[in-house]
Amino acid sequence: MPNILVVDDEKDIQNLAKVILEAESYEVSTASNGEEALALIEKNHFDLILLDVVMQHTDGLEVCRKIRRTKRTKNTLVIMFSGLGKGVDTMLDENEKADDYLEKPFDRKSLLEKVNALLKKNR
Amino acid sequence: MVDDDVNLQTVYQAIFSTGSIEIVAQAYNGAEAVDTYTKLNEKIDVVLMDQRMPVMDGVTATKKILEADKNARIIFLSADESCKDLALASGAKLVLTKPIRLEELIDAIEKISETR
Amino acid sequence: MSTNKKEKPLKKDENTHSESEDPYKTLINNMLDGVFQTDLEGNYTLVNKSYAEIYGYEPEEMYQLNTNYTWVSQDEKELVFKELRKRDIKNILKRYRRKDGSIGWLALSIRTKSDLDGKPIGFEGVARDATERKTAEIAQKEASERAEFLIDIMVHDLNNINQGMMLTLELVARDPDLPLKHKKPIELAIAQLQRSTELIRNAKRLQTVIEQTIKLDRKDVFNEVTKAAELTRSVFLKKKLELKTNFGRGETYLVADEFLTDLFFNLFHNSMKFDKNRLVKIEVNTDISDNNRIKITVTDYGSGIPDDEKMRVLLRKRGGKGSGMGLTLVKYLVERYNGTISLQDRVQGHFNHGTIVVMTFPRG
Repeated sequence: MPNILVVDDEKDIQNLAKVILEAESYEVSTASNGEEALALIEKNHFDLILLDVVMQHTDGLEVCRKIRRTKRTKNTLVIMFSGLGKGVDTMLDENEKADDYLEKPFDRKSLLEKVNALLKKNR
Repeated sequence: MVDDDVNLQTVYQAIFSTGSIEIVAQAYNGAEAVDTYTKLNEKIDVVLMDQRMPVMDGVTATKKILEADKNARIIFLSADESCKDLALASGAKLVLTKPIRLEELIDAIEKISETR
Repeated sequence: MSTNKKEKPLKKDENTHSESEDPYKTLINNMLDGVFQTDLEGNYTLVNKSYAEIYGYEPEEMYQLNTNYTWVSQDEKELVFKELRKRDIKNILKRYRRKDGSIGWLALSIRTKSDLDGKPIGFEGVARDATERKTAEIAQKEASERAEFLIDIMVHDLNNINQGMMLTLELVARDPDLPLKHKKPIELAIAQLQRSTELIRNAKRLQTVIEQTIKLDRKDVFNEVTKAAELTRSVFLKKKLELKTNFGRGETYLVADEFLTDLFFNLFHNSMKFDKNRLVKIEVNTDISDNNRIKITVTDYGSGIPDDEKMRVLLRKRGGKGSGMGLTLVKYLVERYNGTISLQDRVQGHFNHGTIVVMTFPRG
């Protein structure tokens, strides 16, 4: 079963994403900030990472950059979500970009559409 | 018999009050199901497991019961087809979609309890 | 463009002079997009009419304002300004606070403004109000979530209720001492429950299909028809389905998706339901239509559909026989695959000798 990491500083969002994804039989781990996320990523393999952008200390953009710069994880699928919309894409260099973007607030349908599309493609 | 719907459980009691099939125990969520199974293991031939339940769902309960007893015979009952593959993958011997005809239900129970 | 650090907004009566003095001033002030400049601390140093309008201020009022008031999320602001040091930022959606305290959404592009030596001296950018679009999007998402939630509850609970009723009635029907006069009413009740079950399943299925992003690819019609027939047989345990096709595996393909099975299943299901015989014959044939499309016909020998019902049955309307939504799903799927559908009597002029469902699809 594909392994997904949900990173968001809001517990509500974490839980919402977890419930939606687990109902589709995905294995879900969560992290509440950038540091936690990076620590988990170092120890585990994730097929896809759902990454919030605006977080204290280490924000989502930083996490995404680190993921892309590390050999082991550079091809991990990343979906960034943010209230700032798809425009966050322009904040990342070409080789740092995420695989897709999700506008907040998101609903079940748009989340699953994007997650399923990326995971199907990679099988 | 595992199902969180109290009314439906009452119906099951009425259905199996006579005849060769006997309800040994009823559980109203997955955790209760695992508990009850472990306590009454010997006396149980077949488990009828619903999917949508509070505390612990059917698939997780199925996995846990099989961890405790790999020969457990579990028939999965679900309201929709989407969890069929998952149920089979977690070890259920048969998956039936609600609502099931009485004949089908009795046939399924008899068939599964005979496989040893 | 003007390099003055502090630009005053144009007052109304200055418009006519400035056309000849500075065409850029007029342009900026009359632009429909909001334009702004701030100093490094976030104090507004230039705003045009449109920008001030977004916030509900007069341009002069904004010069007393700092962006600390207008940014709603300080976290978002920190992130944006951190990134701004490295590059220009285009088209982000941010919430903003209006003069009256209400919150809206803005589509914002912003860059750092530097002096001739490259030293940052402030920020500037363009903004457009996105509140209407965003609130409409959110409302729509919430509505669809609510609908889905309700349907989920209904499917689960109604199925349980139907299950309870069905088992109870069947138990009574099995009683050997049951007087004959009670048998028929009980069978009718069970039939109603089956109808209810079908309706629930189709409504849920239709919802699932509608929600799926449409991704079409090549499907072998023979496989789909065979699968659908098997499914139909498993529903009608007391009837026998005899299926004939004029094509075999690997001969006929359609550009469709996994719900093609549902299309045929619903047609077969209907034919089985409305055929009084125990042995039900259904034929599926393919052909090339007059305008070079693939024509697929599904023929049954059942009780048929009267003319006035033929129309109604394909429209999304209620009432009439067999309004279990099965054909609504079929019509939806036919359209999804860019096809057409019509109903004909098998024997012209006599609807009660069976129906032919005629569908055409683009050649894949």
